[in-house]
Amino acid sequence: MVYIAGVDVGNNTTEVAIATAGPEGKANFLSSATVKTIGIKGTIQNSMGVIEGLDTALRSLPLRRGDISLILLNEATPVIGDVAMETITETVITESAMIGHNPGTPGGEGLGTGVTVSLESLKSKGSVAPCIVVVPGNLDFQQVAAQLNHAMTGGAQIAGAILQNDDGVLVANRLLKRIPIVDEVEFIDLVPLGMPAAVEVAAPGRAIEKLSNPYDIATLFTLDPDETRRIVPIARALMGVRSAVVIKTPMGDIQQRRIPAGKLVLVGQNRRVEVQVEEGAEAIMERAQEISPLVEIQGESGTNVGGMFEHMRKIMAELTDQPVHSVTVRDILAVDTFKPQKVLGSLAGEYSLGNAVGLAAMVETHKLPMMRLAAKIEEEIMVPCCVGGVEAEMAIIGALTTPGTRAPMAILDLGGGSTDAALINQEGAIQCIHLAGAGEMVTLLIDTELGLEDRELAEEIKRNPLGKVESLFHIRHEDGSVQFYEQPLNPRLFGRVAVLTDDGPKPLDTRAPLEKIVSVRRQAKHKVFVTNALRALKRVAPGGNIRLIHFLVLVGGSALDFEIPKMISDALFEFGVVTGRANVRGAEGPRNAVATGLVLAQVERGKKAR
Amino acid sequence: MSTRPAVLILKAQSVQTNRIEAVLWGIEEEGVPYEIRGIVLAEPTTELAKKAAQNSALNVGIAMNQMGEIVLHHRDLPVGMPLFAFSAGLLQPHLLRRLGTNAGRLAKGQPLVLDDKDKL
Repeated sequence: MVYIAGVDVGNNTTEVAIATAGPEGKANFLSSATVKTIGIKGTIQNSMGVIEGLDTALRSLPLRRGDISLILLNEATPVIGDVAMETITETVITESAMIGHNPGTPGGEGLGTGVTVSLESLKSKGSVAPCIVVVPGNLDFQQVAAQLNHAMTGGAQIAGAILQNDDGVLVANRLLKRIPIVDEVEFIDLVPLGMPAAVEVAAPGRAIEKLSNPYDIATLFTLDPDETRRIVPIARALMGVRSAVVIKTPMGDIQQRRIPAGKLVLVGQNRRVEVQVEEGAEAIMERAQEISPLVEIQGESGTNVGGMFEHMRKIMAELTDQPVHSVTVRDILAVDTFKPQKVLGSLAGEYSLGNAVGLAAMVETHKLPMMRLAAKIEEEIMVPCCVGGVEAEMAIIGALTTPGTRAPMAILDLGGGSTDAALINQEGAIQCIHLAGAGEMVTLLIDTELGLEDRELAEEIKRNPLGKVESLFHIRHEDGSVQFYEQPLNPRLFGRVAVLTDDGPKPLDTRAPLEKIVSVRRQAKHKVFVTNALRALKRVAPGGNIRLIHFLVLVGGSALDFEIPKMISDALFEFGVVTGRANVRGAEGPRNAVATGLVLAQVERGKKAR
Repeated sequence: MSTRPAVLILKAQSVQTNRIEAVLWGIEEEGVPYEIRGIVLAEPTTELAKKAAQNSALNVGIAMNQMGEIVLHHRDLPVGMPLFAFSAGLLQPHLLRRLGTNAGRLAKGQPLVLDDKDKL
């Protein structure tokens, strides 16, 4: 009996299929395994992962390593991808003019306008004109309430208060008169005194109405049309919050500033164009489409994108023993996104949403040195090992074992760094392409839009559904269903949105509601995978017509995602393409396509030789 | 059984109200009603807190004994597993205030305020 092993070294996982080649030229698959790839794909460090994968697959069989007569490696696609983010707008406050934050429990209710005074000077001088009292955090709320009441009975017209401590409700409950109070203002010292100000607190469950409307702000502060135009960013930043303070300072200004983010140079076969990154993703992708097919993309040095390009080219050059200048960026995917940023000059650590552009890039070269890896494996375990075929071709041969498929068929490999597509026509000719942008891009978008600054957490959010911990014993899933627990949940989870990972729920430290996070996650996946699925299929489809592709199977790690296959299926439904997750050999799901293809191709070759 | 929706606080009669007032402020700032009763203690504080939670329309109860030991409990939790328990020595005002804040948030279903140091 002849035993053959097909091994697919991927960016993240190494997959193995073991089969016997029967005398009548038919492969009989016995076992398969998936382990983590060790080292960067294409380097000799991979051998450890390959051997581990073989051992794992052999465990269920009465065989040892030495019984295998041939190990076949994939000729790995020499493609790596990476992602970067360029922020293109930011909000800058000069001379603090707004406090738009949303403390959990502001005090009182209503709108108050007046001139800002410190509690200290209110005590000594009193106040005839309406005033907004500014209270530092070193005072006990009982003292604050007593002093305010004293001033009120003394005739001071107190219209509102700004507190540093989280005492808004406590103070409001002890005052003789009901006034709006905004609390938890971190940088109380920076609040300018003697300036006209307005404080607004909405009833529970409602959002402020006046300070989020530019014309109401204009009314309150008697602004002229030009000034009104300038306060629009303030009004927008205050939409939807329950409490806010706006202070008018003589030189005060809020600006949405555009940050120069450098340019990209898109080089096509016949011409080259330059496009500014700050023009946004749509402009970039349009220009790229115009001069397609792209030969090379250059980034401006000194920008994040330029840095990313250099880094990728260097890694690839080292990997393939080529000079850096011969490695080029072949494709980009630009996506418009938002980035919550701390407002420069803010008083309470407010955030505003800046615009940003996410960019994924892909470098492609000739061949990865898989021969070196084959030699290394052969030397280590004394089993003949060789390169068995090109990855994309093997993948499609493997994917064709999915029940219910036939050529012409396309596969879409939704990986981590790149999206790869291949098409096999009726004659068996195979064509394939690689595009920038895949799983890592989705992670970056989630990380950025939610302001997590934690890639691992973003990865968890990408992979798992969410739930809201509604009590110590139950979680409401994002689809509305409820799950009860026997043991009380960790109090850290209580009241929070949690990612429901395989290791149990993980709390998210954010005030963003569940629906918002779900929508960010879905949009990120849509922007990357649906865009790329269409981009990729147009490139491989006969005459660029997706309708001529009858079957499309999804393979690769992201095909296991709980919602991506549906999104792609929805997008392709109108083209009449049968879309679904591969089920390699009717048993493996979207995994093991390449390893299976390697074995099948070898058996086929054996048949022909005979 | 208390009919008004409130966090129920049972304290030993000998405990002066000012020893527990930081807790009350914490609850008040969260906008949650509370009810306080002085009683003659016959049980361990944890069991008493559980009883307070069972009698609270908001399912949240607090108990403090004459030594100053204080426990925050919820109706659904087993007696032996209160949410927070501070022994008599640990009565810093900011901890008491936070206990009150968390009692309020527990009643409202909002995330609790916790230190990284909290063992949970």
